[in-house]
Amino acid sequence: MKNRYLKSSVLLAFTIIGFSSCKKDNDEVIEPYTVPATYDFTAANYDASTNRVKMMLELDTYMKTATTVKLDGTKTTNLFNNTNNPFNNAALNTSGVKLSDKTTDAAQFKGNIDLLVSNSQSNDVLASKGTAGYLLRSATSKIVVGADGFEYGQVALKGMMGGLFFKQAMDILSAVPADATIALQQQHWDEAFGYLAIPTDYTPEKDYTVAPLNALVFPAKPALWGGYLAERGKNINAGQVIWDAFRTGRAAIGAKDTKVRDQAITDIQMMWEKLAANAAYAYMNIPQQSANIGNFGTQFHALSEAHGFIASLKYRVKAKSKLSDADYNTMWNIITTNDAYSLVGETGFTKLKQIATILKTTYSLPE
Amino acid sequence: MKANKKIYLILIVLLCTALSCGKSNNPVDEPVTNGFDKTAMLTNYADNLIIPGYTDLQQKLQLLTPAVNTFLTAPTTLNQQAMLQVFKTAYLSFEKVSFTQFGPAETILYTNFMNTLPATTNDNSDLQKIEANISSGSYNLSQNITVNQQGFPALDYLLFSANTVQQFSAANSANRKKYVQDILARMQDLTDNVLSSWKNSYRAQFIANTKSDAGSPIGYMVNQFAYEMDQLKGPRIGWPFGKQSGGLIFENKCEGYYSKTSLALAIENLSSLKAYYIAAGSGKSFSAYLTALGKDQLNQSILTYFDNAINKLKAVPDPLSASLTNNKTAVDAAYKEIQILLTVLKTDLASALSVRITYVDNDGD
Repeated sequence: MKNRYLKSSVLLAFTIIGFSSCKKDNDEVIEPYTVPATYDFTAANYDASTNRVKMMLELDTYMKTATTVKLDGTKTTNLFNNTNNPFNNAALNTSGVKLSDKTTDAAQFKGNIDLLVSNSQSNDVLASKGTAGYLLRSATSKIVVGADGFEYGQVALKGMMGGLFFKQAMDILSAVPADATIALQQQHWDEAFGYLAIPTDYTPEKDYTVAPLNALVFPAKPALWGGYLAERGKNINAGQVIWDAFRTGRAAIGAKDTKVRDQAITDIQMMWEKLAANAAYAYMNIPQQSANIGNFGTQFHALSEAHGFIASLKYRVKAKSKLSDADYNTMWNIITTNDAYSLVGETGFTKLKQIATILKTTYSLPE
Repeated sequence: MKANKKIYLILIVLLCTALSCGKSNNPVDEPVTNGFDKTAMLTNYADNLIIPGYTDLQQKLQLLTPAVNTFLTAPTTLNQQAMLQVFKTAYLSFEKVSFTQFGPAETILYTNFMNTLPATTNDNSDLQKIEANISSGSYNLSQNITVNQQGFPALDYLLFSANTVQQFSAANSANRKKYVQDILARMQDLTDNVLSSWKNSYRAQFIANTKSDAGSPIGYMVNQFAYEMDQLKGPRIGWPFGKQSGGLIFENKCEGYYSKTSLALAIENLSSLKAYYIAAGSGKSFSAYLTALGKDQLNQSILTYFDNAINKLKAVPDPLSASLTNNKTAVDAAYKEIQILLTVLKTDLASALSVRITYVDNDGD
């Protein structure tokens, strides 16, 4: 009798254990779900992010008038802080958001904007080493530069793309796995998507630079980072990877597929960082091209863009990034302690090549 | 059942293999495309055009040195005339390698230091800087900022200006003579450098890369066809002609203005481009490549446009600087043909060979 019960107990025990294990497996069995072809998710809301993109675009539009307008520092400050109803789009003035409070190192980037304002006061003076003013970039276009040759409109814009949009997206995505509810995860995910600034029907195949798509305006057309998916991201397939990952991860959240969600987070973070690096790399090489020697306008415009993209790399997800602090500091040091004239004047472009090599090697960038 | 499973497995594996073979096959990378041997083309360019081109220029520069020294020692009009012939020969030889501004030439900014063409604006700061260098006797020609203070244009100005003989006969012309010799020595160094890089390491690299992406030899050469045409349309002909200044003519900004070699240089430059395009009809050229890709109509158009542009340039009376004012019709006719050829090379040829034009500053901001 004892043995019989023992056998049954053992059998029962094993069965329970077996069912328990099965139950665990059942928890891991994900209900099949589809990833939509567009960013089509019920109640997806990322107005705050989108409004910040719109604000950045208005601020940039104003900054870009620096070649013909002596900029007003009060106006740029208001646009940066959303004070005194500064935006042409009235809805932005009452949106309840601003650029400044989500910009990491806000003082640095505001400083870049202030320098642009100051340099624009000399927009009718030909610039030279030590003297702010304008430089010709082509027969028909000019840039406004500081005494150091940098085009602060670009330094500010690309820098803020890093310090606000990229940094926020990275942090938000990193925090998603810890969000308490599905709804919160979805909300935050959408917020990060909004910072990429691509339309819900985006595809990498679309060319927004030619008719008819070039007639569209954000949010129907990509902006800021969204624009760079094509401009400096084509040869690393940034558009496809990031677009797919955003939709996949968002769908995975709803299906509680944490594994796929977390992979999507990593894919987005790594590729967005690589995009910044790829852009910086391209802009490091442009000043060195023989076709651009003697054209300070073209060279310094490129260096200034590079400045902003290198600044952006500061906000990468360090735990996952391949770029070491030491290498980052080397690049940042070079671009911030040398004026543009010296950088392009250096025989053999030693310092520019140093930055380019770090980027190319770290991120395995194509030529 | 088991056997069926095995067959399905084999089929799946075969299918995957077939699919992955298809995926990794990028026809643009393959050495032989549509029966056209790109390796043979690149080898032809390296061995029969590029290296001989640099070798010839090296020799012509070596011949220029004694001619220049003879003049510097005895600055007479007669010696200047003799020097002009040797100078012209060397400058024409340079026009043949202007196209090959990639690889070693790009790395050391060869064409920038050898032949930066004058800017269009009414600004003679480059000449002023040359004079300042001579006065002070202190200059560093390896600095990127000095590209327009050396090379052929500087020699052109220093050796063939109206008052050159007087300037070199003057008592205090030692600095001037030294500057000329320094420029010439540097031109030889740069040329030796590029030629040696080609022979020692770059040739192998060049021939081995049959891709068309940015940074590939084919990519570079297609870009260079377009770039040289842009130089012809701009600094060589158009800008001095007033195309960017509302008709205001800058005849002293013509390439070879002082030696009155402007037309010869432009014709040689354009003829060399055509020579690179057809590679002596060897069948190992861009011309043949286009035909192999089924684009012979485009190829024929390009050949026609080349001949049109060359013929119209030859029809402009010498010197170009005078024709800019006295023979506008002829110059305009040449300019039009140059524009047509430029467009077809920059857009049609590039697109036919899947090459992206990368030297243009079209950065979107």
